[in-house]
Amino acid sequence: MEHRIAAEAEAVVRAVHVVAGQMVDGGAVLIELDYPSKSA
Amino acid sequence: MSAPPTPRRASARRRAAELSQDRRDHRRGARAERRQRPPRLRLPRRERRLRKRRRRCRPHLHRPGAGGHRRHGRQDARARAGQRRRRARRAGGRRPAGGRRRGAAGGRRSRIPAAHQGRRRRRRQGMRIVRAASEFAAAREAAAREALSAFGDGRIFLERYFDRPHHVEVQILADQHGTTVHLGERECSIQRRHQKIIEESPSPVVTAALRDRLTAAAIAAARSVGYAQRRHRGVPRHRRRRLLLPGDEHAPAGRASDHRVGDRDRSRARADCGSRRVSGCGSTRRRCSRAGTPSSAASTREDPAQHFLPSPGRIALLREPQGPGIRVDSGICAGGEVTVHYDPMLAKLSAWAGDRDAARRRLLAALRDYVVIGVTTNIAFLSDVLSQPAFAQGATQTHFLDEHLPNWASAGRASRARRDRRRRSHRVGARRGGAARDRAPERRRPGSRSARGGWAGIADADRLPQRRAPPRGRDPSRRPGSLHRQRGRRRARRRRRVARRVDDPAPDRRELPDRPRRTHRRRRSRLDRRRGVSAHARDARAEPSEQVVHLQPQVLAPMPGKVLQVLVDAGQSVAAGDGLAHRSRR
Repeated sequence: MEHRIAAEAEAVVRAVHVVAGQMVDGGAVLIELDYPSKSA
Repeated sequence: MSAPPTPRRASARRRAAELSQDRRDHRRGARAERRQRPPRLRLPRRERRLRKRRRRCRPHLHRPGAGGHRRHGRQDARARAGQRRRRARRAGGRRPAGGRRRGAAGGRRSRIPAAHQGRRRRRRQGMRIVRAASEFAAAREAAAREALSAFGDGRIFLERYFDRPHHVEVQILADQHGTTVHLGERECSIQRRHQKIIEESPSPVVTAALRDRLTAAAIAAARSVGYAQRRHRGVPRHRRRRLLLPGDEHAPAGRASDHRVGDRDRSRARADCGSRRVSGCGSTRRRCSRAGTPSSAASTREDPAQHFLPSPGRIALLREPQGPGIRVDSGICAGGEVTVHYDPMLAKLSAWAGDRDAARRRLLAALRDYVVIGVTTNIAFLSDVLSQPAFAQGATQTHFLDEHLPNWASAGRASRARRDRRRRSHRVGARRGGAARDRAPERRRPGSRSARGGWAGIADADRLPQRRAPPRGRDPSRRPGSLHRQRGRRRARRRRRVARRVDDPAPDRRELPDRPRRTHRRRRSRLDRRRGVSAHARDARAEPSEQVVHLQPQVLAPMPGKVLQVLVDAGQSVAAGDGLAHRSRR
């Protein structure tokens, strides 16, 4: 089954830790996001 | 005088003699082996006749032959067979001389919306819907990729996609004597990702005339491939009442809704298949009577608040509903481990009643009594689906969830965020149940607060059965769990705490923070649980300030798998709901 991973809110991608074709374990960090603060 | 044999001829004769000797030895050995076998049991003549007659009468269920598989085993062949039948019907029963394959691979004359599908398909895997011409290439690649990874066959075909159809299936029973019966239809329109989650029978949108057409077409399709096995035939019903017959080749696990359509009827149908053949009647029974209205819902280990991601874990507490007209088909137990390596379905809950609304209400009540703690399930989601006024009115379509429950995930997240806050407040202020929580797991009482990790505020506890009513003669306000009783307990605990501080002024004990006072919101949520108000309904009336979602800065893989595609780059801005990556299960 193919899953689409979506952003929960507006954010900026800080880092991408995987590439296409890579095998990952459960709980592995795929992508890091920076969410804008409320004051911004 | 003859010439002496040449060496070549002599060797040939020798080889022939050796071969014949080997054959003789082999036969001799086989005869010896037969002599050592015990003698065959010779039954009396009458018994032999009875057994032979039984063999002839028994419905022999088998799969279709190679031709049937070729015609209906693959999705593209099945679609072509349906098109041939429709063309023949339009031509007045004559077999068409030939025609262009509309909708086959290539899609020259296909219209938008269309659907790319894998040639071999199971549960709509490898299906991509194209709503604009610009999406065509990407959908084709995605469908071929998923079909290749799932079935090892990346060939796909294209067919027209019907928007907002009703998904109605007809179950068929056939034997080798040519007897084919149907067991009525069932509505399977409540789907998520093209997988049905709620079934009901009969369909609320199928009239008697349409039912006759559907069942007759399904029986004709089954006979055309020589199928003699209980099977399901999906019949999408379009608004323009155009009929398609994509038969489902595999015979899935027994549908509880079909079992409840009439256990007696189905067994009678099977008996008739044999007995009429013996008596030489030769008639075909094509209809079964219907009694009652069954509904069933599938409980899965998926988290609806997290876009239905898998939720593996160990089941700490399992309490299944019981009662008249309620049936639970499950393979789980308390203490069992639920992994991501199998189908997400945990159980199938069925309710049966005299009419549709009674069956719906009975199923809803059973879902409220269903308690699964340890893994996140879709039980609350199913309850909210059944509570929708549109569902009660029978306005079910395949896009029902998108139209009526589009924001369920966000509401669920807000509920979980509030639950987490409740847990934290317990963690800071409460020491209640701490000793039991620290006890070894094997010594914990099943179902107790310690077995649930020491916390009472978990989401599934919302559906715990109500406490028993107090015996007659007692003041209801003094019953266990009442607000009056709890206020009295709190006062008593406070008095004891003050007394301990006075008697034993230990610094560590004095530094323990007090239990937070119950706020109006917590009291209201407790009253909601007693009244049976679901979490979704609570979130719907919650103030906007309450719907605070704790966002995680790291996106984690929910389970082992393979990254198929990364859709973003570092530094890129994304909006809520934008795709980050595609991944498949290992």
